[in-house]
Amino acid sequence: MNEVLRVGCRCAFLTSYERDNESGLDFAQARYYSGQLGRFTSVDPIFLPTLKHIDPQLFNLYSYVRNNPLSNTDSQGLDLRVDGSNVDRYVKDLEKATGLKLKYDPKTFLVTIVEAPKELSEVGQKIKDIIEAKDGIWIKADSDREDVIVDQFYGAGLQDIDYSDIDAVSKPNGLTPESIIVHATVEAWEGRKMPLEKDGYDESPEGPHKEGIRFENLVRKQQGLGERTTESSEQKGNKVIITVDLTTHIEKITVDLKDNSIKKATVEKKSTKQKKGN
Amino acid sequence: MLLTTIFLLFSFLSGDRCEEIKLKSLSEKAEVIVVAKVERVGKPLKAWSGYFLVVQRVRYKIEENIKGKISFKQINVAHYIMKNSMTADAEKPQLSETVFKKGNEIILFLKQDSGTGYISAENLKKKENAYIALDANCGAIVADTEKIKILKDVSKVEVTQSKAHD
Repeated sequence: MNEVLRVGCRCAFLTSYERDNESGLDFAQARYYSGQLGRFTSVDPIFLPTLKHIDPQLFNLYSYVRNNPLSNTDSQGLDLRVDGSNVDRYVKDLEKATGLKLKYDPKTFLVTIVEAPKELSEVGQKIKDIIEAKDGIWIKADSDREDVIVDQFYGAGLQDIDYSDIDAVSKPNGLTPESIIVHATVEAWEGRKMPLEKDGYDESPEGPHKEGIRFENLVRKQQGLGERTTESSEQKGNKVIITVDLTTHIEKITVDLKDNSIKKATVEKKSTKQKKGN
Repeated sequence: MLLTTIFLLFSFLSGDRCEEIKLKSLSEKAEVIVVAKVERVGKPLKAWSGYFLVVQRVRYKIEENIKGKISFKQINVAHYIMKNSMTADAEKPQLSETVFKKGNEIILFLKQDSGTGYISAENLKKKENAYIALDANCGAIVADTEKIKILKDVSKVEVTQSKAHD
């Protein structure tokens, strides 16, 4: 039953607390530790954001799954789920980036592969592996999220994407939706066992982020664009200006701190000195 | 009664995510380990890490140097703001106000901060005394004597092994 719940819906991450010995223990560990930091009595930090994600529709799905075990789905091991207001865009962007022909089922939120090209790119293979793996990830593709700048990493296989920000930063030769959503998907995948896992990555978003950038750059290479190398920022009043350094040029993204919306994205040429630095 | 006590003790000890094995692992990776007192918590950016890594800076006064050479009395440490992590607030995209309270003593596992690769609400003014916490869960933990002892023992072993290699 636990496997059914695990693949069933985003709230499976919550349900598994009660049902799954392994992850249940880890969740409990987080609570114990939080207690040592004076946060013992607070709501488990892992549960709260997960709960906040669950809209009534997902609760319906939860009931649906419980009443109709998805044993076939589970045995196929298909496990990339997406919800939110921009699911169609997400699926299309993923198709463009990978060459895979995908199908989305709004009842189960599952993305499945209809057809895969004979020769898959590294990106295509990675996304195929993610879709076909037993470990689940759940992407929420939305717009106008005030707590998100482009996309948000939760660990535990959860990731939120803000398409308003993606639209604001996307330009020909600049940052692209396809490379951004591949970044987000790979990052979710690489961080799926965090913060529950003791081994592997240090428990920081850095490892999954770097892998996200690696695959983002593979997509950018496919698109004939320069690679993203690093980013930095400076604050000016109520704005933060993010400098994204690409091998070909620099993107300057202005974020309004009042609502974390991206107000402006401009392209700057690199000086000869900067180019040499890369 | 005895069995219950042993069970509870075991549950509590095994429930600590930053237990000895994790501390040893972090201690091997960290360039610097210090016990430091929180002096000032910088502004949060009000966003979680994702497409951009987000950090919040904290200024500390060094109380004790456990590993690595550090010649500053004060350091600025960037902490990743990662949802669901134990150093972050449960809801707001910022560091936990309980953990990072002025005067709290924290054990920090650090590496040098180059000032790039992340975004922040505050500009990095001096790179010399800037560090970044290795881990969003156990990279900054409230100091207690037991953990400090474990770390000192681990560091001694590392130093001995390093001398043996020399």
